[in-house]
Amino acid sequence: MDEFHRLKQLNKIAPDPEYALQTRVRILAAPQKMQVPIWSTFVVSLRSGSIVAIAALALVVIGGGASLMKYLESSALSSPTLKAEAQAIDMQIELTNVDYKSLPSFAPLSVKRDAIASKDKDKSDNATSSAMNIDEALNALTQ
Amino acid sequence: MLEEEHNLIARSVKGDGEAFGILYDHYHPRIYRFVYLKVGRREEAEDLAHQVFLHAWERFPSYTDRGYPLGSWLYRIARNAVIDHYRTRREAVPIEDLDPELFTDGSDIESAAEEGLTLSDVRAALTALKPAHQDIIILRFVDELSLKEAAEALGKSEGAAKLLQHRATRELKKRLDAKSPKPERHGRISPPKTAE
Repeated sequence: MDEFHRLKQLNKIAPDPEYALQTRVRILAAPQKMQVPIWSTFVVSLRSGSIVAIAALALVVIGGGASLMKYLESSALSSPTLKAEAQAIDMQIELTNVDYKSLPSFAPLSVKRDAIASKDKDKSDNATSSAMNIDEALNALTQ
Repeated sequence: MLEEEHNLIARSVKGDGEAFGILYDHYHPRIYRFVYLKVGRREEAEDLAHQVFLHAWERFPSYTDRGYPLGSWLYRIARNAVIDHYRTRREAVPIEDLDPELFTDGSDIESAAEEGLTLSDVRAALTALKPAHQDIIILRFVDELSLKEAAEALGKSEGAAKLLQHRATRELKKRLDAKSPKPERHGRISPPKTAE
């Protein structure tokens, strides 16, 4: 038997009719898919993402600019206001007299130290006396 | 190619189930046969054929009619489905899986058995071929596609398909000749029959 004749006989192979009908019904019941190419999905997402980003940036710029303008226009930073504020500052600098005569310029260091120490002692005495006065006052209040 | 196939395709692209049903009725036996001859098992062939047509129906809206028969596209889907099937299964297909009941031509049991054996040999020889050789043999000699249609289904040029066919038939003939009983020649002694 010729092999090609045998091959043609394989044409008799057929599916089960009941199975064929069942699968037909199931297939036609399935929804069709609208295929979108991947690249177009990427472009769409990029486009929408960039639109959102640009919109957000615009909002920030507009909002920030508006508030900046408001701030600049306020009286707090205008040049006439600044001038007036500067003039209003009352800076009185007082230089106290420096007693150079009490200490000779070429006096030894120990002498200078003694002089400074005596001055410090006077200050502490005054502080002690004032502290005691405060204590007396407080005692008087409590009684 | 089915009559008014282009019209049916155009309607199916728009979602006409009735039109696709007609295409299904025409191509389903061919796709099933193609898949069955490659995988060798009826249940698997049924599942794969179902997958092929489900895939085709779902993606029909994006199908572009380039003038070729729809069968070429369906065979391509079927080939890919079989490749994916083998990739996941990795099992050896039993050669004796041919079911004589498939031949519903009303023949008596004896002749059906004889045909089954003969066809079993052909099936075995076909299974032993390379996948590309199997494809061209099935498309050209079992489903009787034209060379142009077979080339389109395989994604090859007509020249390449013709060359492939030539090699496939040579290989198949070699295997069938090896299986068929050799006639007695001069001076050749055939092996004695075993005594009962």
